[in-house]
Amino acid sequence: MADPASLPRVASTNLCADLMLVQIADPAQIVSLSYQSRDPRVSSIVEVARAYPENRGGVEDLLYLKPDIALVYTGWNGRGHAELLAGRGIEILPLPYPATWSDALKTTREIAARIGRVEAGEIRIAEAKQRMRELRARIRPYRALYLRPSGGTAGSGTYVDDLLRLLGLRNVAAEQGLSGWGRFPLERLVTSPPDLFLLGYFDRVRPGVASAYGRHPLLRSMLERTPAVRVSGTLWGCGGLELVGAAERIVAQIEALPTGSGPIAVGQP
Amino acid sequence: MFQIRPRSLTLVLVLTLLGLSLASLCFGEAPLSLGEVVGGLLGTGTEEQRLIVQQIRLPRVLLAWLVGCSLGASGAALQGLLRNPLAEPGLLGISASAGLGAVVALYFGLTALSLWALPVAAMSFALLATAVLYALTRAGSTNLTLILAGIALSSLATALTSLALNLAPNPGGVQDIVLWLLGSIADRSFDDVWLCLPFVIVGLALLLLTGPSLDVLALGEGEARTLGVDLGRLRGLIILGSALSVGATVAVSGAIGFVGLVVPHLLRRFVDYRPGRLLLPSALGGAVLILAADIAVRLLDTPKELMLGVVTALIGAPFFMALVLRSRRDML
Repeated sequence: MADPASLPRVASTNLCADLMLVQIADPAQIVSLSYQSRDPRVSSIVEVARAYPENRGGVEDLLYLKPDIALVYTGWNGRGHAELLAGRGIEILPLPYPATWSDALKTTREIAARIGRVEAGEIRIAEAKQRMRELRARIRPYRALYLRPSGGTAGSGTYVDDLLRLLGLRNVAAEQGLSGWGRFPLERLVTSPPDLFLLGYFDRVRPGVASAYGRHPLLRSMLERTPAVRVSGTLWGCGGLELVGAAERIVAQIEALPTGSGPIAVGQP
Repeated sequence: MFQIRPRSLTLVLVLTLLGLSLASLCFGEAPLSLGEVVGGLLGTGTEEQRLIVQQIRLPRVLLAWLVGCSLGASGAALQGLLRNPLAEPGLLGISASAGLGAVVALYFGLTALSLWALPVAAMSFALLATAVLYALTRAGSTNLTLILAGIALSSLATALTSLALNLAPNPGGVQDIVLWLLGSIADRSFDDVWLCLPFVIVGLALLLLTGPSLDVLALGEGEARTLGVDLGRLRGLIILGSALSVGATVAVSGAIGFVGLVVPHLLRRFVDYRPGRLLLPSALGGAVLILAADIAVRLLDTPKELMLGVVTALIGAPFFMALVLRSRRDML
């Protein structure tokens, strides 16, 4: 292993990059993590993050912190200043938003290579792959619908869709022809009801604040009749390696459902 | 030029409203035929059809009525009271203030105490805004001052709404800000209808009561007083009526602009320019406009459903410009 002092110093400017970085970097090479990494509502690495200075992802932050590499997301709002930063010896490394689990592995591998941690990266990837493999085909092929309180869902071409298929579930939104991060209209809930709800971020909103969709009595009564699994918000929003942790919790919750719940069991021997 | 008598105007508006309501029940995600919609509405269809028509589409139609009637009647009443063609809940910042009240109640946990806190907060803020504006006009200001004060109030309420959404214990996203500023009646349920219905009924009743006095007020304040109009009571009724109806509907739909401006203007000529007679047609016309806009929102094939306020602003803003240009020409 390389001497930590010779590794490039890395700053990360948003939560998704933070999650990647703390998994594969040598702790000594991390210069700073984003302020979101300390927010227990969204971050699963609050304790780790306290050890590092926080940043708000701006160009000034990076000029002040002087990392060798800065991890940003493709939508980063300092793009116009990338040349200025390059002139100061700060390399901007934009990370794509992953659309599949293999994208997440690929991005992890790329970051590991850029920050001089190939071996650590491979170990993490092998471990995550192994954990994900163990989850395959443990549950029945429910027709599952991912739903956020605003009525948002995940159609084909999203990491949620990819994950559902990896776990052997059927994604109702994709089967209904939705692609990307669209909305699942209330009327479709009536015409093609799922066997299983996968609820994202329903824990974060109080009943009164949820959008009209999340409050709608029709959805509420369906949630009473249909088994639902809640997704832990802190492992869910980025679609990186940590997704395997969310997947494990989803599978565990589905396995804990009373047997025979959902229409699939009906008529089975 | 054809003539429509006030009575037949009301009849035409009611028929249009019913026709559009039926059309609105027919448009949606699920492809239901007219027969299936009627079956679902009357409870004779399949459970699926009943759920879709009665629980998803019908509350949306009823909310369009309530929101439209509130905005149309308030616009007509405020224009009559202030004798200013530009007075309107949206432009004067009454809707935006009601939205601020709703946001404060929702995001700072007042609704955890009671769900009624939501419309009550919205109505209180709307009342405060209306009272401030009225106090300004009493201080002898011109039409221009009133509109400028309204714009200031509106900007302030809008800014505070964004600020409140950002500072709230559970911060709202950009989507939430857009909802409160542009308004929508999608995905609403009967819970939302019941939450605003009582206040809208009382508010509209107060506004409609003012009809005869508004007709007399059109002659001038002095003349009205001589003819026995209690101006204090008239102002009180209109301020309270607008605050109740607009505040309660904004609490469930967000602020929808320009309806109260456009509708009274389009209908004024059919009631011989009498502000009192304008109230009922404006309420019905407001409902027609909101329903039509809500149908348009669903027919336009955009990746994300448009906000209702976008459509009303697309209609209303050019109209507002035309009014401003005309009033400038009149002044010269």
